[in-house]
Amino acid sequence: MDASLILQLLVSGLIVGLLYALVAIGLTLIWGVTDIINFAHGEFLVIAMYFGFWTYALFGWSSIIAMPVAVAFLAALGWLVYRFVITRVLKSENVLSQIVVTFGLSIFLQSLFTFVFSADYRSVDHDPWIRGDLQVGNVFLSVPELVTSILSLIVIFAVHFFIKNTNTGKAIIATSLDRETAQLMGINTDRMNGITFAIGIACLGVAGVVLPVFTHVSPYSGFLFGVLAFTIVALGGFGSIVGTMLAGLIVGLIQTFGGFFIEPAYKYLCVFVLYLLVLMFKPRGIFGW
Amino acid sequence: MVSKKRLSLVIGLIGFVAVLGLAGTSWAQATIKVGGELPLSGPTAPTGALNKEGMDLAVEIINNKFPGLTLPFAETEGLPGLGGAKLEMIYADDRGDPNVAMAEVERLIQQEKAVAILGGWQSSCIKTGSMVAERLKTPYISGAGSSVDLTKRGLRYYFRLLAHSGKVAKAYFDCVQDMEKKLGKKYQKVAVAYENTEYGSVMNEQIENEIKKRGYKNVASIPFDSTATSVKLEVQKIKAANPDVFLQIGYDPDAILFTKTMKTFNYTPPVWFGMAGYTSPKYVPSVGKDGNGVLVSGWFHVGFNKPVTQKVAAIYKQKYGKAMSIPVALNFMAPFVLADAINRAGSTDREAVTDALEKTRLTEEQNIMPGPGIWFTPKQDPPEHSHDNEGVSMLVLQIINGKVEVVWPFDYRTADIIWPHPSWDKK
Repeated sequence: MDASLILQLLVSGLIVGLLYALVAIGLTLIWGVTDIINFAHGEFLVIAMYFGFWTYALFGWSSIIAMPVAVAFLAALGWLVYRFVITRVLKSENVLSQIVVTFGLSIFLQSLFTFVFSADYRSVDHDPWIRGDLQVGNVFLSVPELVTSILSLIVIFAVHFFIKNTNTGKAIIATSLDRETAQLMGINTDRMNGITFAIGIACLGVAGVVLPVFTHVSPYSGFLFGVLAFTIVALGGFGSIVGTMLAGLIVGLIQTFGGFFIEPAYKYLCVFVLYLLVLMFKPRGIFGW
Repeated sequence: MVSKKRLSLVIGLIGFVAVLGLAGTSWAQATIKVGGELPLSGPTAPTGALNKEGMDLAVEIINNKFPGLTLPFAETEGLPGLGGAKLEMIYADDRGDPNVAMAEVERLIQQEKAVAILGGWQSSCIKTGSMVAERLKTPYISGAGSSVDLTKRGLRYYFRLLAHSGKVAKAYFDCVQDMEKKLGKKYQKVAVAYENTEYGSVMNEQIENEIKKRGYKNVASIPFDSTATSVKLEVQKIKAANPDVFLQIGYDPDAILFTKTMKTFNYTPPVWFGMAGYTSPKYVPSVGKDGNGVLVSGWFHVGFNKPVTQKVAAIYKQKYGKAMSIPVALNFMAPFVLADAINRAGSTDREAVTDALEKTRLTEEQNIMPGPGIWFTPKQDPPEHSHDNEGVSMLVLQIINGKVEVVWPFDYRTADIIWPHPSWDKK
């Protein structure tokens, strides 16, 4: 066992961890503020992935060009989903319907993808700009992965800054802490919910658009990302952005180190075992509140 | 009172119409419905589409006149033993999912009234699809499906044309040992990364058998999910194990992913074998020159120097504008085998057709694939093979400059083998 192997695993783990963290940030925001568990979160990521693929396949766009468009598109989509789907169940007394509606949305989206795009696997094989491999010392990584991770890190910090330092962000925190008091303070909590949904889904635009360059997209690609995002949110504590980011990195590292030193086939098992342990000993999450 | 003349005229008219009607029934060409179960969507869809082209071309040859072609029924239109009856393919999409395969085969037999089922590409789907066919007492002929276990189930209605993975593993290691003799080397370490369904798992077992038999050392045996989004860990483990011979057994998505990931890690083993996924029409367009040097299972090659192979390759090229490839060829012979059996049985009765299938004996000239012909082992109790094609021979191919060439056995080569595997910058 040598240092360069450990360093490689560390880098690989952090890279995938940052991607997971960005996916989970959106989920934790939505969950923390609106109290809605977005079971369709993975499917919105897949929308971003298909966006990246089709803009390449039809127009030859590099994923980096598609990204701002995808972010705007997904932000609008997030807001629309909140306005026309989520608000209806928020009014309902039935908590079950709140859980089921995003689950139904998830199934609907998977079927829609299969119907419109077919179940075939798509990938961006020759992105005009985001391509190539890097070797730094004895550490190997691909440019698309690195780009995704760096952008994920930037966006995570941007969201964190926004939430902590802007009036809207503070209003969002207030809404998540105590909805009624926030309303008494004159905050339009419905609007805060909509903005949160938009931000949460827009994060997926950054995470998802470059993915088809180094992996592939199919109608069911969202499932694993969704499950991992839930695990990360639970590990990191609901509504805590910093907690979610750190949990995402931890999951990435556990997956990588566990997968290498035990068996690659068990990489996700290691993550879920950790999750069960945390649930047993610290159910509020590692950084939970 | 009707006059005799008028009566006889009316009777004559009725008789004439009746004769026309009866003659019309036999003129109306009977079509024999044949079910085709293929992955027309899903992860192996690109390969499934090629399988369909092969079957369509075969049916076209059977149903029409192709003089000078030595395939069964090429010279006639339809099956002479059934009054020129023609085959009609009815396709079902198994989506690469064994559960869907079962449902679709049931639908083809029960609702579409297919006389027999042809096809399947993934062993996992063929396994379950043929189970349904067996229950419904309907012949199922697969031109693909490498898992050794498929013919070890003692089934009456299942027939397999392909050289199974045991024969592929043997060919791979025969090739390695021929090269060892040529180069005066001895390789020691073998690593396998295999997809975790029927096909990959069974091929891994066959490779392990060969490793044991020939005294190599298995330094890594890594299962993976063919639909996985990343194979970084798998590649890192293979690289750390440092094998002499690496075999990557998978389907379309993972063949591409492994190639890309191994390039990221700047890793090439001295010897790199691939299997089904590397025969996908998506592989070379996706990875470009990075695919050069991979050795591939050669169930078929368009350059194979048999007159019937060359003639069919030319017909295919004219019709589809590209070179005939392995996925096209594998299920190409299945309609011929079925048509031959139906013709000999003289009916579409499933029992009669199955009995006739067991007695199949197609010659070398009647078969585009390498090997002395097509004939099946008898139905036997497991673990013996039932209805496995004994007339097969394997080639080993290699991707050279973006094209697939025959490199082994050396006598059949269309290009010289590139050995060891070139480094990434030299591809």
